[in-house]
Amino acid sequence: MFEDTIVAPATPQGRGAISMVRLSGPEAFPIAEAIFKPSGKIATRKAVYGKFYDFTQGSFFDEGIAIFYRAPHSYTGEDMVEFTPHGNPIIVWKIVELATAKGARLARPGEFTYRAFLNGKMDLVRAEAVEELVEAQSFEGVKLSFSQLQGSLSKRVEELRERLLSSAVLLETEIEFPDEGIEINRDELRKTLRDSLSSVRDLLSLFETGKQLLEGVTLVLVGKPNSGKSSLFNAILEEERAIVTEVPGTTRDFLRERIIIDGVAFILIDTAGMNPEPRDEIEREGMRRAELLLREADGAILILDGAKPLEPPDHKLINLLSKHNKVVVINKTDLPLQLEPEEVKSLTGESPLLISAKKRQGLEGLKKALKEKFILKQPAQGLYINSRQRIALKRAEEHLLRALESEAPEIVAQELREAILSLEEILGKITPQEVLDNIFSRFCIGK
Amino acid sequence: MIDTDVIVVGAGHAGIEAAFASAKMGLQTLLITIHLETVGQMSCNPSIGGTAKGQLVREIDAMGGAMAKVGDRCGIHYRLLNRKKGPAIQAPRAQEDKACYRLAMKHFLEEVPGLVLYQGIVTRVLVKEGRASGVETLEGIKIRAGAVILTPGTFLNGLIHIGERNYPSGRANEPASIELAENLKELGFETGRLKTGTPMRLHADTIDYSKFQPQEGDPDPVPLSFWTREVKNRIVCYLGYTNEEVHRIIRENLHRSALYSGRIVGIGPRYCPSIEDKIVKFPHHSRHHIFLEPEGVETKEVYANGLSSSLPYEVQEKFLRAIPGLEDAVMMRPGYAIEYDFANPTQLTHSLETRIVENLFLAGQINGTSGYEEAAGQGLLAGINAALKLKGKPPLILPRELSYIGVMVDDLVTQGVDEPYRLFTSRAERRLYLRADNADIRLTPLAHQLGLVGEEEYREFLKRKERRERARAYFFQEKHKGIPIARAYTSGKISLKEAISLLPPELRPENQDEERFLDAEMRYSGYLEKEVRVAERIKKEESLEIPQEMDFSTVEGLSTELKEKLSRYRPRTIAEARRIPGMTPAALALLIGRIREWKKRKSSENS
Repeated sequence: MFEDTIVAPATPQGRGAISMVRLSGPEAFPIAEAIFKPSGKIATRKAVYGKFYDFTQGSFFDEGIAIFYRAPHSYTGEDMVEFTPHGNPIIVWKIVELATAKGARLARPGEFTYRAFLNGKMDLVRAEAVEELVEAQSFEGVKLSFSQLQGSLSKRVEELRERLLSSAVLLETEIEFPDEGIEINRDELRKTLRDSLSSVRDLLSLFETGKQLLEGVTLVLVGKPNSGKSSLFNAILEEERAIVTEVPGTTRDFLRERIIIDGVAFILIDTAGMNPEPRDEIEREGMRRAELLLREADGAILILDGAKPLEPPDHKLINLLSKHNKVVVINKTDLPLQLEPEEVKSLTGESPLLISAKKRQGLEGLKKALKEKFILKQPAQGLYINSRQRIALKRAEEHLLRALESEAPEIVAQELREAILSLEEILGKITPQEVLDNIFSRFCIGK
Repeated sequence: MIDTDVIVVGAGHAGIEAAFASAKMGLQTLLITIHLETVGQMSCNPSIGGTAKGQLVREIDAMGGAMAKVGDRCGIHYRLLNRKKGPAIQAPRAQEDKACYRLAMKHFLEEVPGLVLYQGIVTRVLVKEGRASGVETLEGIKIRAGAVILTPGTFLNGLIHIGERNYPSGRANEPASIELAENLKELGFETGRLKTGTPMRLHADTIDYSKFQPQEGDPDPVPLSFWTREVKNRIVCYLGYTNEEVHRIIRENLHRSALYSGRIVGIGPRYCPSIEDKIVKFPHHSRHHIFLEPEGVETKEVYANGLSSSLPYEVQEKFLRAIPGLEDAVMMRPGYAIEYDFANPTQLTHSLETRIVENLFLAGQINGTSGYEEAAGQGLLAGINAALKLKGKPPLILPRELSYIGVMVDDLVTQGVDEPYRLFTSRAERRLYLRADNADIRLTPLAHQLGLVGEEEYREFLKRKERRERARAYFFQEKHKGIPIARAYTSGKISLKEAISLLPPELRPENQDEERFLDAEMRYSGYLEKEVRVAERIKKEESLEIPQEMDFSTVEGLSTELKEKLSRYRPRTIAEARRIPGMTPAALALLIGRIREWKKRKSSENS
């Protein structure tokens, strides 16, 4: 389908034992053979050892493994070569440069998978799962996206589409061939529509949980200066990452770290330097950025200094977080407690946790509270939907609802068609001829 | 020397509309046919219209075409199909008196100024510098013209099959057009074979009608044409069934059918299968429909709809004996199959001009379609575009969103054909809008601009249009018991009749079509608004201009074939690029992206 050959490093930038460079397209073999001199005969889909050759200077520069794949038996469905040289970016980019000198083109991000999709090697859902698998933030997320890559969602959507297509075929037959006296059973049709609607809603319910497993829960640590945010942050991470000092506002850059609780990644953001009563432009900017973070985050951990009574900045922060999902922590319980947990509870609506970051006390309780507050109950279905799929499913839901509201065959057919198109959009396919083909394979049409 | 402006080859349903449109647009037009007695002959069933086809006939009529007007002159049995369903899928159909239709059509054409009918067999299209310049006939007469429209139908290398026998013919007992088929290949057209068939015709007096169910026409028949006021039912059709015995006879003789013995290579239409086809493909069906349709008022010939067959004469006779009511039926003509050449329509542009020879247009079965109405729709468009081309004007391209003709032509030229193509309402994305009741509103203003609809007819149309649109506005604006009349109707509070009785007398519909229009506009209002919005978005995207200095060969990700085609056709907009054969939605999306990038880069380079 594609006439040009693409090349790109497949492993991240950096030094390591080995790296990988991929080539795909009709010229992949000749280009690879110009760069790679195998020690023996090349057999496709078998590792072959050889040397990397710089034809511009007539010299060898590395040794390694190559695998040649003949179309269509490759990831992209085209002729493909995977080089595994040593992991030095200089070597990697030399290979890429040599390939482009022979006519290959640097691939755009995701282009190998895009080609796999366009060449029919995988549907859109699976193509997306590749990306999601690479990006997953926890092992549970990895397992989930792998199941998706194996076709868990595709299969469900495909089944749903088939079911609706069957109804559409019946309905269209009734419309197109009135002389044949074909009348479709309305009760059965409505049952199919209702069942499909509940399947769609089932899938829609997977969005939040899937997102959580894949992307994790983002929480912002919020507290007035010197309330012990960074100490708590570090205590949770159990390693010293931020500079912990007695001087307020030392760290102005936000630190992000990831911990796993029950298979779910929690991305914690330390807003050290955040001052609800900013004194200068830098602090005002810090505040603005913290508020922005809060808007995008899944929730917050509010940290109060237990060694002091509640002060105006605490009240400001409590107000700021009034609409957020949050866990409230009273820190510094190693010092005499100066504020009333009951008062905190009545102000924030949350039972505060008593913690000493310094003494590492109460941390297990915090993790338990985070789990209870933020981890969604996972349906054990091995599938999820992403935002794009969700939008399409929402549309399918809407059309099915409207199809159920109407008795007129042409309107039900219209809604069914739209619902099917929405599902096809999820899979990335469009097949207008299919309804008619189906009509003819199932019905004897005489007129 | 140019003898005429436009030559139309073939006077079937496509050729008629092509010649009529071209002449009406002021061009000297020559319509050449093998046999002047069979102008507008209905080679197969005696009906015009039906689902999707009825909407199509209305579109042809709205554009000033001949089919519906002549059809109403000779219609003898009218039914509105899907009458119990919604207005978008209701479609008029008329059984015709075939002899009347043929004669009336010939006379109709003879009266058109600038249109000459001529009897002859065209053997060759004359081509000068890649452009059609006339035709040559069997007698060696060369006729020069500015444009040529070919509508040869099943005559193009036609081969009739009955049982083990076959012989070249364009229609039973009429000569095939063999040389022209050869000539098209020589000109570089890729051609293939298709097949169709027709059932036997029976003598009415030998049928025992008491064994059949009568099928009366509608008590309030709906005409085919917007401009016809009244039509009448003059005959009754009959419905009967085949049975297991009939199927057994056919199964036992399958090896003798032209279709199943392998003598036919052409692909036949799935929606109009022969009786042997139905029995093979649907073995679990114990019976199939037979519709008996009289071929006219002053003839005893009856069309046995549903019994199309390529079995030998004696087998046809034998299975007829097994059908209740047809035990003594006498065949006046046997059923037969016919194979013919077609040229894959991907070789055409959306104006139906060929990409291979300029000023050469193809319409009808040569483009792989089946059906009188499909042929007529294409003929009309080809006639219009031949005329526009000679006038030096841009072609008329009917978008899918606007008409069934547009849906059909777009399907043909972008998808090509591998079996006879028939129009279905489900092929149209905008089925709720492409209706029989509003075809005139959709197309007549355009036809008037082109000169296809005369002033008097146009004034009549404007009156109809205004009455309908004012009534619609009234329904949406005026209230009945506190809610808009349209909503009162769609929510079931009042009937259509009651809604209409609320209209001021001058806005009341004058016929069923006007009622249906109002019904549809109220029922589908939500959808129609949405469709307008979708159409606008498509229009906006389609009108994205492709910079003329853009080099397609550098567009990454496009196949070489598409790059070449883009460089060759140099589309000016995305809409035009879409019409390039082989253009896929993915390639189009890629192209849109690259154009936007290109434009951004250019503007930043300039600043």
